[in-house]
Amino acid sequence: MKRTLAALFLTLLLCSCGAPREPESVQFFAMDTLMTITCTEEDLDAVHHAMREIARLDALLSRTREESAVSALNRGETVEDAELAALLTRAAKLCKATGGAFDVTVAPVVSAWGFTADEYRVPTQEEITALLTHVGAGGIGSDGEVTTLAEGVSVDLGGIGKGYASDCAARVFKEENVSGALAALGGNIYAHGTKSDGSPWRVAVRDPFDGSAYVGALSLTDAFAVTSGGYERYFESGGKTYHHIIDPATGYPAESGLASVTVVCGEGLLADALSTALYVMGEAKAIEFYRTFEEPFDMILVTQDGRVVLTEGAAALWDTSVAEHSYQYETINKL
Amino acid sequence: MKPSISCKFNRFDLLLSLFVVLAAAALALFFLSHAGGEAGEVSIRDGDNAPYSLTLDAPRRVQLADGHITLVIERGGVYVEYADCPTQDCVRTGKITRTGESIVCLPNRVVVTLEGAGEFDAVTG
Repeated sequence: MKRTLAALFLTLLLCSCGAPREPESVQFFAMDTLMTITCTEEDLDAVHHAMREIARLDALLSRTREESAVSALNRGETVEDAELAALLTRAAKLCKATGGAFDVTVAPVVSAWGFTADEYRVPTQEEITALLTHVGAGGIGSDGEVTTLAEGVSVDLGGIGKGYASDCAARVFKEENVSGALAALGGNIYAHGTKSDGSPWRVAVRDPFDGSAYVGALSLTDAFAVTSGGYERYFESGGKTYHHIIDPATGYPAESGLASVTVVCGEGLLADALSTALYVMGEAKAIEFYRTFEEPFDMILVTQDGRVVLTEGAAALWDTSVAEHSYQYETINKL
Repeated sequence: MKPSISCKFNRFDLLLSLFVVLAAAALALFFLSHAGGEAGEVSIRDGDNAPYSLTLDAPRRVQLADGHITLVIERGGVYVEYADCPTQDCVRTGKITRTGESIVCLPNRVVVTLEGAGEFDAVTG
């Protein structure tokens, strides 16, 4: 009898070891996208705190909400807000570091293509040329508290807003001792800690040529991952496709030979900005940037000719077995 | 004199061991099938209405967002057949078939998700 009870106990023990706690998911709309945060039940309060923080940022940074600080800036007003000043100063530095491939002042050109109001159109060359005279981070003036924009300049923080929001979520999770959570802010991913079973978070990278397939998956712990690709938002006109990632140098959708860029690093804002910048740069310049940029990051480039180029750090986190289509994988290092 | 204790592995021990292994395997299979199996339901969040779920076993068309979106539910997946918004993002998403995948219509605040834990915790891109 004792042996039977011991056996039953052992059976239950064996099974309970492998049964992880059911995760909770919180979904909400903010920053013009759907956001999902996954966590354990005991961390729900912290997740709601992070949600409130993201809503606050949405009200501050939105370009389409008239009452936001960014809208006030774009109307030509002087805005006193230390957080916004710091964000724009960082955006200007990243603009310089990327040779202008990432530029928040490309906003008027993006609007001319209709991507701000979802009213797509192809602007004339004259219109683009005129608008490009107002593009450049030199148009942002800030003393660390007060920010002003030069005449005709406007900014759109859509290229770093969700990344910055994921940084703020990370801060909240850390302050409130969250053991593990996964924030998916419209494709901007922050993997905090591990899953409840101790394993890393599994994040698939969408195949830019097939929306229902993946090019691979990343195993992430305490890391941010952001993907940019022209396939995410586009329209067709006159038999041609125009996507939403505008090259600040030309005013036209970037045609760099890349289909998508995923950046993995320790800061959401940086991952967000670099994924756009590297997409605009193209493969050769992106690799050169990876080898020379002072801040560490990893990247996965999917090229239009069907190759997947990974930095060595990304390759260490990468699983190709989930890819449904044939790709040629190449790994590069810092040299 | 101490009583002698037999440590011989008898037929009862063998049956008991088999029972433990089989029972553990059956329970593990139960948990695994609930953590990554095929989607059986689709959850629908339609604006401010209370979210609800529908089974994939009964093919049907569902009108969402007061008729602005037509969702087709069929065995193995769901897709948006029609939407009258300018971006057509939800139509372009195509048919979703894996648990955890979603179709999102931002203008109408509609989220359609295949229920269940999928192979991945999130998707970027």
